[in-house]
Amino acid sequence: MNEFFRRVRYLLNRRRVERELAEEMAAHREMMAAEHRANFGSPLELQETVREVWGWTWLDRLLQDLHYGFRGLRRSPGFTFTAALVLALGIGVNLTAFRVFLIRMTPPERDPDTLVHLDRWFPNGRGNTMAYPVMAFYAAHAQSFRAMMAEHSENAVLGETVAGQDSETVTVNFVTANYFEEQGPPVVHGRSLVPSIDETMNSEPAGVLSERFWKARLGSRTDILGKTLRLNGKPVIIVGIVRPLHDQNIALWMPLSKQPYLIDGSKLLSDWKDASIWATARLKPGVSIRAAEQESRALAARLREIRPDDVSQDERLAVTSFSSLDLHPMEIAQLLIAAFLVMLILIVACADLGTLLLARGVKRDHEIRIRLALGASRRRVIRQLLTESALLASLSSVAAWFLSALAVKLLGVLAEGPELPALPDWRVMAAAAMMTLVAVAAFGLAPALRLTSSAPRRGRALGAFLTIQVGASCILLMISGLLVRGFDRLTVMDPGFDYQKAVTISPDLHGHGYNAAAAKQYFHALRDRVLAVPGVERASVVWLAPWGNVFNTVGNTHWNRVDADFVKTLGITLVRGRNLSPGEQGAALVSESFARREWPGEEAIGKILTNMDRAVVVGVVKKAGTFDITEEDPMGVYYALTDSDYVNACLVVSVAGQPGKLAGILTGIARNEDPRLRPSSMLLRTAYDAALRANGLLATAVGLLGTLAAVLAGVGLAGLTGYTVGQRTREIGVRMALGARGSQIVRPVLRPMVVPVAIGLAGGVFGAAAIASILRHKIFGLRAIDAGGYLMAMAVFVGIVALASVAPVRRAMSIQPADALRHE
Amino acid sequence: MPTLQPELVPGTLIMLILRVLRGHEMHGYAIGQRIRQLSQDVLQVEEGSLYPALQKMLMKGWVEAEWGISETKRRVRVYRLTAAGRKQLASELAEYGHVNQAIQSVLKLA
Repeated sequence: MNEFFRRVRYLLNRRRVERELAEEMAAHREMMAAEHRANFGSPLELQETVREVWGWTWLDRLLQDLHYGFRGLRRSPGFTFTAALVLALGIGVNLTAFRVFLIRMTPPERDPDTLVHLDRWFPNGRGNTMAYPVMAFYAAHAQSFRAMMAEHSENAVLGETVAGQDSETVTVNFVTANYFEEQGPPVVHGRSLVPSIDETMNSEPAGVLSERFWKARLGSRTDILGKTLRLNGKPVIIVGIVRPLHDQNIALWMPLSKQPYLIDGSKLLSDWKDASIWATARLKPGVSIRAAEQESRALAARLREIRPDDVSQDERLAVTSFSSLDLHPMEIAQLLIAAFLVMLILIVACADLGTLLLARGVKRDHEIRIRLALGASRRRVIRQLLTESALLASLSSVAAWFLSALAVKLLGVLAEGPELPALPDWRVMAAAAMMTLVAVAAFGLAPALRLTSSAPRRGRALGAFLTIQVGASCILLMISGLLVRGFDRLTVMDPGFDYQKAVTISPDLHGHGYNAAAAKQYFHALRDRVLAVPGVERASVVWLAPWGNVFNTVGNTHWNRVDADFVKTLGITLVRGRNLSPGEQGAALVSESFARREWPGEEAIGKILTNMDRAVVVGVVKKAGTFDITEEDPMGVYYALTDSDYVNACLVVSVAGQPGKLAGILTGIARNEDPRLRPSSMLLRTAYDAALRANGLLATAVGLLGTLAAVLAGVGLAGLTGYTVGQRTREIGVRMALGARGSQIVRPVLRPMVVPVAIGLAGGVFGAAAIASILRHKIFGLRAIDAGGYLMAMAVFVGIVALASVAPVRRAMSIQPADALRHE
Repeated sequence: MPTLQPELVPGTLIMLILRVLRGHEMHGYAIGQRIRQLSQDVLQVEEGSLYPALQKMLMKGWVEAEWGISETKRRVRVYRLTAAGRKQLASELAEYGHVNQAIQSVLKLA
């Protein structure tokens, strides 16, 4: 048994040990008395010395301090409640952000360390998808993987598909049947896909529904199991319901082998050129990522011997683990900014608490002086004050723990995301403990030093706290001001074309095995039919749907290929030059922003574009807003549509009046042209609304933070003014007695606020401008230099200052000279 | 009784207690008495330092204590040296001898 255990045993049996010691000393005294020896000395003091020997006095003092602190907090419930609430909010916001971060960063898959994604890696680039035969080759030969899984999503039409009837487009995820057992979403009802059943030759077309789709569209009916749904007109038997891990848009999963069954004419499983399989794999135990990549290099070389056109020299697989954090620098910047913004709340809360503690200290001055006078060392009193702060902070962080758990739960409900694990997480606990410690140091230390010091008070600590508070909450208020203004700007945004009446119809000819000539013919026929529909104004064949989810960018420039009707169909303003002519090749339109950057001060028309397709610029459009809805004035190039673009193209239609009513009729026409097709339609207005909602959510979130910061700052300011009034009660009383005017009383009360508020405001503007200039690239409509946004925030702030000082100033004005003299 | 109270060199008290306990187990009062006797009344062990020292030795595991009955039929706590205590005594004696020798040689030369 070593010393530590003996000490612990002493601590546990302390009462007995001390009783024994007392008895021992009593015996000693008796024996001394028998020999008429000198006095034994104070037994109490001796006991105390012995206690020190065992080294537990710090614990005794801590317990004393805790008792004392607890009593102190209970004696002033108003202060305790305010302080704990302020800090709980500060820590709670941070914990919530941390929890969300953890959830976002934790792959929901089982055992994510051995789960890898496979990219094709070439000496000059990489591709994140591959063709099915390529993937099948690796799956058959690679020794590094225990299993390889393939995913491929496609839209399909659910329900009866006679033109004009009630049907809807849903996303189907085709997967290899081992997908579920390897990384699969948990099964809620029925079964998932199983290789032994669903990958046999004559297996029935099984489908597994996503829980969300099942609840939203099928009313959570369990009798759906075993029933048949019609997808693209084909019967699909529902065998189970699962809870998706990532993609909430997927309505159901089907075996990849059934993709050709559902999509008429699809060559997905045999086409070596159609790179649309998302491949993942499970590493065999003990196989490293490097070893797997090394093996794939040899395999690729072997495949190249068989299919020289489909594999490049030195190709291999790039293997990335699901558990590795693969963040883009821009995402890191955003994360850091988000972390900084929530941290500001904690800073405001701490500064706030510091002010409150100092203000309270004035009332406790007396008590502290008495303790010091009774012989407590300054260190002891500081320790006592810090213990009290720690007690307060611990209370708050427990409250913050629950607040954040609740907030995350709420956010989960709002985002309709996957079920979030509610288990206590040691990382969250560690974060809470750390924040508590940092908070105690931040708000507790300065007041403790200040209150125990005998130097005269000049209010510097208070000034510092106040400056930090004002600065930090100003940054938050201003950022939220800028976001709100950006949001307003978005609602009145002019994307440079008439999105209100546009519908896109995507027939997905490529997916149904069309070649270029057949596709061109299809689109020409479709356009003629569509133009004959009453209410349709114009129609245009476009390679990438406007505001679709697919972008083509080179550098900062977006590009697309369009036909000659595009400009008129979408009502895009042609500023200079001419439109594309029908059937023209090698010509392009550019946006003014692009022309300005590419050829500043020169005429763009007649210039040759070489960095993408080679083409002559024939015209300049005012704005190329059809690419990315979140960009205010994107740089864009519209090339003339080529014959090979038709297989992937869609039809953009502009209609008079409500496009929603015509969309169903238009998809019906597209289907009538070829009954195998399942065309989908999209209203551009819907995309616009979605983007608006996303920005609105962001503005709301930061707005909440800003409001919170403002309220906290208000509490702090009120605390400061109260402090000043409290400290000067006697002086004010005397002034009153001598007949001072109101302004003479108010001025000294408010003066200590002026400098910190001014510095804080200035710092806030700079901080906010710096952050906004980074955010500007990512958030639509946000401008770093936006006088309106800053003024709005400052006005709010000045309002808060005024509100916060009303009560204390009124108190100062109502001080009676006689009461003031009795004060203290 | 001599009024002179020479101060014990710090740390030597524990060595003395260890040495006194080497032969027999004793209770606290007896330890003090024994040290006084052996030093011909020069070294008076104050109770205020004896008991803290004993507690420290208990904590370090150099001695063990047990309740027993004294010669005067009183319940007393009797201290006994442990193996660790013996080792500690040996090393303290060695060190003390060493230091003492060094001091002596300085005193002779000076």
